[in-house]
Amino acid sequence: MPVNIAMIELSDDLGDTHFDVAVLGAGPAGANAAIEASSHGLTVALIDEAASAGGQVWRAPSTASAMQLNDNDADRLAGDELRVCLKASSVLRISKAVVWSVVKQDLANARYRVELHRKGCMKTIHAHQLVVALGAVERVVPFPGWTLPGVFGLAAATAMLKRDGNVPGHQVAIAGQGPLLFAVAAKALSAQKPPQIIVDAAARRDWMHSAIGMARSYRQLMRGAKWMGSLALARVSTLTRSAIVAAHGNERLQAIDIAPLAADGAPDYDRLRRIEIDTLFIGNGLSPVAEIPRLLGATIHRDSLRGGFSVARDQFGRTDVNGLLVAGDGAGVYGAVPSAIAGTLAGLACARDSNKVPDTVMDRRGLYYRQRYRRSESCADASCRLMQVPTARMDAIPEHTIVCRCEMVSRADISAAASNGVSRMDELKTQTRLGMGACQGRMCERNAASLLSLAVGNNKPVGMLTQRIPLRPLPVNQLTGSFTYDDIPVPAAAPI
Amino acid sequence: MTTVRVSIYIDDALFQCEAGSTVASVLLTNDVYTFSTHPVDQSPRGAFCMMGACQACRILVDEHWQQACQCAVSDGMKIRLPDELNMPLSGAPHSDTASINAGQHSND
Repeated sequence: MPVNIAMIELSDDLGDTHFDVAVLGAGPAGANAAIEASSHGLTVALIDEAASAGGQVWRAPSTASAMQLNDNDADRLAGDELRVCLKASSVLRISKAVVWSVVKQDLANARYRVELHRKGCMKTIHAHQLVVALGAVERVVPFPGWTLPGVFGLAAATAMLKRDGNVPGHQVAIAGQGPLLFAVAAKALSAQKPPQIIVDAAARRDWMHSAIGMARSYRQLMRGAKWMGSLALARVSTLTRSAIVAAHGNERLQAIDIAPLAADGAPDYDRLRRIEIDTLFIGNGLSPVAEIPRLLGATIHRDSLRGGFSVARDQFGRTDVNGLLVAGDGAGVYGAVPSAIAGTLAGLACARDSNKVPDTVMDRRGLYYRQRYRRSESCADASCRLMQVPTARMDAIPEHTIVCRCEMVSRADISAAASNGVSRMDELKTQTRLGMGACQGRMCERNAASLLSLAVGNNKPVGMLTQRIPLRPLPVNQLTGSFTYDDIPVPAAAPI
Repeated sequence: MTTVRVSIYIDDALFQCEAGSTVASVLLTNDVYTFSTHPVDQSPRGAFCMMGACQACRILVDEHWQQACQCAVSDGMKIRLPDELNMPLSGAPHSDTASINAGQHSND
């Protein structure tokens, strides 16, 4: 292993490619898992697609504008602290690398083979333990016109504000549900881009309930109050108990239709309001990115509060697959603070399972972090409740609405498949191509499962799509290398 | 902190941007929202999730497919916006695949 090199990219010489622990994802959970595991003497590789650690919430600013905008931002400071700790540790950070395959192998001290690629470079690393901390993705409830350029996920605004220090657009709307809504709106305001309107699916009553849950975390409550206050001061229009039901435009977004929501969550299409908007940031909650645990066969539970599903794990993140641990929002959505603690617990478990720490240290340290985790849970629960989408809302999606963006599969296609006898997600995939596109179901699976279940009509589980490699698109020639037909040995024909 | 400006070329048009920006944010802040078209119905497509998950913002950087939202600009970088999201690197889609795509979803 190269000495004094803490961070490398794939084009650099990796040196030794065997590690005690490989951590996939360098957000609050992954980075803390890596730091903890390495602090007990394990060799650790921390892999992320981004240039630096922090994930989505603690993302590092990349431009001068972003540094200025996020100067005193709590998330930025937490991220800086994490990045400093990481730099001081002996973790090898492999940045700007995409994981396209993880395979379990039967080697005595290297149970996992992880394949990485980036812009033509391919690398393989081996690890005995794997901590998967890939975080969460946006869940967006589809509506007609949502594929128009100009419609973005809510986290897209977060990414741009934190990384670039600005958001595009002239007439910006922010919509969806959950605490991220107001965090994003307040940040956009401070970046001189006040939203024209905020459209929140929650009622004021829902917010009051969640304030009680969040009260245990004084700091979170104060931040939320600050966001609301700055938006009220700037007189930003907010519609509660409402949702975007259509987007209109020729080549890009030009207008949105907003409908009030009934108590059960269904939109009232008779009371639409149309507003001219060219940039919409919308999010209806988060879903865990559990593709690698699913690929490796870990048990997954249905979990409507934690993002639709969660990975079965013990209190340290160990799954039912030997040597595979999960931490953070990728195991089940809780938010940044619990994720950071969960990462530390997973790193500690790696150390314990490699006999690097005795039970006494494990118990004491584990207890301390478990207590901190439990204290952060009620705030997490309150946030997660705000991000749930009622069935009536899903059922109101018009039939012609595109559900799978990559393969252009509509709700009508899902309904047709169900009347053809399809009752499981894998069957839906083979009949309609849903989930076969470039994103592999990442953006549509949860919505498709809900709509398939509604179409089938009984309450039986519809299952999940089978995860396959490559986990991200990559050109075939990167797998095959370069050779011509002349290179293929052709055996001499047998005599007749 | 002084702002370092970088020059990049998108379909031979020169764009000036801040060092550290992503190709996607440069396009969007310059009001270029459409990056490509969808192979099924040629509808306009651009960035969506901005976090490397949705795969919709793929563009060509020095003949490599890259997600525009994950690609940091570098001085002199040459970027091509593909006509269609899944086109082969050589140019227009193969005539066979074009007819297959046209035949898909014809019953809705």
